[in-house]
Amino acid sequence: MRKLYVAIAILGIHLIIAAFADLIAPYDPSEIVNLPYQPPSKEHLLGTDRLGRDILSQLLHGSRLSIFIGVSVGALMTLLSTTIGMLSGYYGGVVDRILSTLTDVFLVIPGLPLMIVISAYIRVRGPLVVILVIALTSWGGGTRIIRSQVMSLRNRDFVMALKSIGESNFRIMFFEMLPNMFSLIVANFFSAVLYGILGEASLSFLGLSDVSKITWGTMLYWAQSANALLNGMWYWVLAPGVAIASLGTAFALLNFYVDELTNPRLRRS
Amino acid sequence: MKRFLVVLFLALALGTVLSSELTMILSVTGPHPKNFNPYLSTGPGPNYAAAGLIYETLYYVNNYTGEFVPWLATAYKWSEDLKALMLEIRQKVQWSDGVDFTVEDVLFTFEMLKKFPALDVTGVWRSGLSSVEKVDNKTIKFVLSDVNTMFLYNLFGVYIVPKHLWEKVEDPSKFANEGPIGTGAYLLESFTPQVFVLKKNPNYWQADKIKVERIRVPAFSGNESAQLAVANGEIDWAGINYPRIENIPNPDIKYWFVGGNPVFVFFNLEREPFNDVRFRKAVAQAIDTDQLIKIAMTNYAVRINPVGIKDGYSYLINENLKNKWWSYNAQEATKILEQMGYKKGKDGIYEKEGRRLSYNIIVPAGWTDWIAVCELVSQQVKKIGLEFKTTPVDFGQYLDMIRNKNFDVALSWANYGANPYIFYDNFLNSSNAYRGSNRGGWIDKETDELLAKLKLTDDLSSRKATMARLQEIVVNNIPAVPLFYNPVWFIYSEKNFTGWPNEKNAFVEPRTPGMDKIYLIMRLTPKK
Amino acid sequence: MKYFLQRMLFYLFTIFVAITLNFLIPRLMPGDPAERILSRYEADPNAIAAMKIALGIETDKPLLDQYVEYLKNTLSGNFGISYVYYPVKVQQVIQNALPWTVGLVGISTLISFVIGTLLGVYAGWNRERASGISLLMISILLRSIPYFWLAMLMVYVFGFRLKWFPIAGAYSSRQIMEGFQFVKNVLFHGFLPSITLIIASLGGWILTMRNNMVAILSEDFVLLAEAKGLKKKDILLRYAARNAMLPSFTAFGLSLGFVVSGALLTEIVFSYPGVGFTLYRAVISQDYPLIQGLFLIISLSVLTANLIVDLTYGFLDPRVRV
Repeated sequence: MRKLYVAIAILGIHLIIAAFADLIAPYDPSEIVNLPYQPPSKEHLLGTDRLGRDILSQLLHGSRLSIFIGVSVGALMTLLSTTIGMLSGYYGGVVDRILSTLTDVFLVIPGLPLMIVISAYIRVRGPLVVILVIALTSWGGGTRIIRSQVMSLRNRDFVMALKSIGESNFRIMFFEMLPNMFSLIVANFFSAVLYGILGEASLSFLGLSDVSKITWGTMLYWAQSANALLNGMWYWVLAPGVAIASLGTAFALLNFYVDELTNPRLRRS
Repeated sequence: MKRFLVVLFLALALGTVLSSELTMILSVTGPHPKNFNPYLSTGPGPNYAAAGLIYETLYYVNNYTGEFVPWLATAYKWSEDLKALMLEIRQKVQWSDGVDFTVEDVLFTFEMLKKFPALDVTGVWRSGLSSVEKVDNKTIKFVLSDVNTMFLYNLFGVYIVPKHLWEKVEDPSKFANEGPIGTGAYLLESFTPQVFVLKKNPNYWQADKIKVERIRVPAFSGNESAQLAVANGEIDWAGINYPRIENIPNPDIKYWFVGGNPVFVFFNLEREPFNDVRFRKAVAQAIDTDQLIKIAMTNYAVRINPVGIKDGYSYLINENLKNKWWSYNAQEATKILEQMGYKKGKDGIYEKEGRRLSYNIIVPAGWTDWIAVCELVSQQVKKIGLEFKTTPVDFGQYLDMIRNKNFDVALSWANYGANPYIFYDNFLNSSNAYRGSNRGGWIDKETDELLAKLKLTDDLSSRKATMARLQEIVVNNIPAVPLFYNPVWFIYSEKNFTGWPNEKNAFVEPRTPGMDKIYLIMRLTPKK
Repeated sequence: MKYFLQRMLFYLFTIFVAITLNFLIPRLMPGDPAERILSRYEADPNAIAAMKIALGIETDKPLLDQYVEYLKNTLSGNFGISYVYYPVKVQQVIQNALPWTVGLVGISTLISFVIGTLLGVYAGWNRERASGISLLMISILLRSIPYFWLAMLMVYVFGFRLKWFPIAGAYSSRQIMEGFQFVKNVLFHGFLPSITLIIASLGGWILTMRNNMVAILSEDFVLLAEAKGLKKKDILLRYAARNAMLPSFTAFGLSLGFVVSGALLTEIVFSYPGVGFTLYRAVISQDYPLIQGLFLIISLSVLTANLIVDLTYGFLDPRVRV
């Protein structure tokens, strides 16, 4: 239970900051407000960046896009894996053959390198592209879990009964079976969000996203390209990383909590 | 035991010559590939060392001073009709395997470039060369199909290779040349992917001028490690970008960033309102280039004048025109816009007939200092009521957009080349519109005629007159707004050597790819 | 037998998909690769024209012809010539990079697996004690940290500030070394990246093993053993840990496939000249042949590991063959 509270607290802080970034942040994050590379001071608690923009303001504003991308990736991945997993598990036969081969292919082709290779070729690199690239290359794992769950539900009595009274497949799948797997899907979603947050950070760090947008990942990219560490500006690297790690931890905790709820074998006390 | 003695001896020997060993950084691209082919230079590495230190050109063209220094040739002479060039080849020069260097080698080299266009990186055969003939054992003749006095710059970029070795190579454009034999001042002493060492060629034809005994080139796989090595004083010459170099607490480390290629704000001259010179003038006056250099380029870029003629060629500047050179003047810029009939909208941006003056300024993604420049330019033009939105795009797409005239405003550069004549040709010739350095598409018949005239003569006063008129065109029309010269990265250490070029001793553009290296190294003296 | 045949067919199909993706992705994007690479070096138009010829970039051939030729070349192991390291062949570049990655990541994966699994057994066994819970929390935290960021901090603290370890590369480039001296130097350079990799992947191993342990401990046969009054130590070692180990071993087998690609960002931060770093260089300089070659090697290694795990399972557990 404590896991849940900690997770909600961290997430809450992040959401509040994201919602009120305009009010909390001392400056406009993209405006040049001082000389470049200023060390931390009263005016700029985390100093200024390569262009003389306030790093603290960027950190606060960066939460918006970082959270948005993470959650969007999570939602898209969950949607994909749930739909494909359900169709594949429910229908079986040829449909299952095709879909699970597809799943296996995506599961086996390594994600991060594929993301990097695709991003290297794509010319337009907005947040939407980042979301699509991460989600479309990484939905395989969740699909497998959903599929096996559906396969075990498929032969349950209540499904058999519904089938025999002529209920449509669509209704059975999405109105009868889905609620039964709700917590599994939620756990799936939380771990996908974690994956999305880390994926965005990695791609941005490599300069493979739109680095003119402010996210924690692009902040790390700019810090690295300005040689922040060798110039003693460690706080510029530390701050966005702590932000990513704390948000990630919140989702990892949520994922673990829901996992324990659903899987009684993890819970024996 | 024997081995131990050898090591001991080596250590002692090393102790005495160590002071005349130069360590330089040519690349930060990871382990060295073993490639000493002077023509193949997609990635900087050992091939940079081959060009200049191992292989040499007929003349050395000093881009900084404009001077032609005789090298493997001792003299050149144009024919009366300027359609043939005679070169006297230097005698008593040997390849480092002991074979004599002759006219045959020069002839072979140019025939090879003809047969393998992939090697013709300076474009001798593409700029009008029609044949190369041996006149006698000392003289070689280059015949041109059209008059082109600029041909010298193409010709003198070619590295001469030994016929007796290269004629056996099946495809020299795929030849890694692992055991290079050249006429140059240095021999390859040892090679590993992590470091290679060149030692002085004792039989070099000007060996008395070389005081640097060895050149050590370590491979660095990343900027951080290279920069740390510089900061620790382990490097004598580094041609790398080093943010905040002025903060290095090591008094031996110095830097001199000479101006390289000029950077401009280009407009798509086919579109409104960029086709109106008044608008271009307004933008030119709205941009404070000093601030750009100071903040966005952290003082590493070099100031440019409106006509883009570098200091070494100031004798070409049209003095009568100087009163028309523009400078930063935001009020004047707003006035121009008002005169053009623009009215300020609610958001402070000018508009006319419902069209706001808001445009994207494209810049290659990942070019961090240029993105900084764009951000600052947008802040500056915002003050006079223009909106330029910084739009980083992938480099390939960026080039495509410019080539297809599918842009409004672009931050870009022009290739300067060896001198202002070549720069003007790159920058203004309609044949380079969109595809080359004439990125905004300045298309003007008179300009083209003047540029053609430059190639028809090698007389300075006639060239000067042509250049004067060209400058007038530039100042009156502002085809693009010059911002600054990109820096040529040059960091050096005074710990082991003296004689480095700098502001006070400016004799060369200290670039690492070509012949500039050897010209510079010849002027270094080891410290005792 | 049918099972093995099916698996083989599946992997052949997947290899085909990977190869085709590799072919299609760059060709779906417009642009002129030669110009992209060369303009970066401020080359003049003459040099670009020359390089285009040298690199043999043909864009006007029909796509299908290009595909057939590409398949032929790939199957004969010919990936072409790298742009960045021209005229070095792609195979050569990969051959130079591969040992570094396999060495660094292979050893780190093994160490991390052993430590993580042991800690996982401990955390599972003590799942209700403070020590077990804090281990669980630490591993959840470790899983949420961007590992390249951890690498950056390591570089800063131990390399730059304390100067205990070199900050980059796989060996010193100051002098030419031989034999034992070189080995020592390589180990010295590998220490920091290796520690980073171990810490970064530890969380996953601990979690996997802990969850397996907890699950096994609630199985009937363990409960039965407890009821029979067997010693705790015996239950832990004989029943629980041994059975919980099996899925962990599977995961370990699969993770060996990711050795080649698993340390991408760590290699980049440490400028370690392995596969990941080379891929990064290839990506930023748009070296298409090299990108394709590397991606294929990465895919192949993952596929091979999967295949081996699958086949081993097939032998060990006859049930899956049905």
